[in-house]
Amino acid sequence: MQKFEFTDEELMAYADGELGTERALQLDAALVSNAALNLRLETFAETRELSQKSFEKALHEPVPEHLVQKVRNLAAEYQTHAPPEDRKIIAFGQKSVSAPFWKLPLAAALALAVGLGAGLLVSTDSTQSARGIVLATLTEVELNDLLDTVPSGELEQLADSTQITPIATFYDGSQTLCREFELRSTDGPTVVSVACEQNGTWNLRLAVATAKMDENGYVPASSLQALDAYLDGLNAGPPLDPAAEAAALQNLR
Amino acid sequence: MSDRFAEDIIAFLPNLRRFALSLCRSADIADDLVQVTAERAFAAQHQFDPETRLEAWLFRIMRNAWIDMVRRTKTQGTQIDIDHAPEVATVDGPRATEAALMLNAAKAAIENLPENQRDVVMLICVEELSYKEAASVLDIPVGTVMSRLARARLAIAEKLGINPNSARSSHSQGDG
Repeated sequence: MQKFEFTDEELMAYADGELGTERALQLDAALVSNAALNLRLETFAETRELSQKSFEKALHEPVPEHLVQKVRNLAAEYQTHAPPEDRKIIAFGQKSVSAPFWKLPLAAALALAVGLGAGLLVSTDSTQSARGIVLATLTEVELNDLLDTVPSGELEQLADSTQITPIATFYDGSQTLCREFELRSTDGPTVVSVACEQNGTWNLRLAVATAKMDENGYVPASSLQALDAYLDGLNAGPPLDPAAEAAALQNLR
Repeated sequence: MSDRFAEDIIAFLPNLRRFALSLCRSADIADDLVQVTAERAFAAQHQFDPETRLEAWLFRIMRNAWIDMVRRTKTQGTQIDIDHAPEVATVDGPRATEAALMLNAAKAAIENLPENQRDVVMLICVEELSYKEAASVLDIPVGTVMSRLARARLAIAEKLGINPNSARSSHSQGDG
């Protein structure tokens, strides 16, 4: 009698396309001359196919509208971080909440971006749709260095007529260290931003840019409202005092 | 991710509802579970690793949410009998073909599996996750996924009379 060479798990993995190449080749060869092995393999192939088909119908059942709406509402809530005032106006003035908030009149002065990656590109409002606001020449490395070292309240002059001022350091709801900071440039917008530390790098979570600033670089209150709403959503803790901030930043190094 | 994240979740709602139904066996509770899953997904959005599949991540959130729901509300006591689940009534009278009957039998066989076997069948055979993805959803080693899945499929085959006597025990290690 032929010795049993393949386990059920191996035959199953083969049927599921998960068996390693070497073993799969051996099984290919064995299948040529072994009817019993073929039958065992078939059992796994067939049970998979039947399982899939028997639950296929469930996929075609209409999804209740309230679930779809729920997801859209969540998207609006989490992605715009619009201040409550904006939300109210949308609720009364707009039939659909699917339009991105930054395209709505009240928020038109804001360009707002969340969850940015490298490149620090801030998406623009509809009036400037062709031009992104790039945070000048500030590289990720530079940003990391600055946020690791510059105490809150201190202004750091960068080479390209841009200034960075950390505003506050705090922990969010999941105890991640975050910093709020402001970037001012003489010829560009003022950007208020929040970055949180993860595995040694500061990830930009939010950037609120004023499309236009006055000569004093004044940031309109509506920008700060958006920021407040965002910080609320993060469950931001109170700002650390200078000593606690210094200790927290020291820990990162 | 922005709107894309939401649209991806919306596109995946049918699958989420299907898995939810298999977890909690009640259409009403299933939709609550889908809703909780969506809420948690948005709250944890920044933790999603774009290198991995959103589907597997959502299933994982859903399963953890379900475990929490069971803990909190002891829903198990109110599980409805599977025969009363709305989508089970799939036999369409005289037109029911042998194939349709087979599919109904397969569905019933899966629904009657022990919970830990049912989960792997749903995730891998029905939702087409890889072994590795299913292991991450269920928080168990890949080896455990495989032994549960093999046992589940042999049990289904036995129930449906597929290739009787073809299955051999491979001395899988039990995992409880």
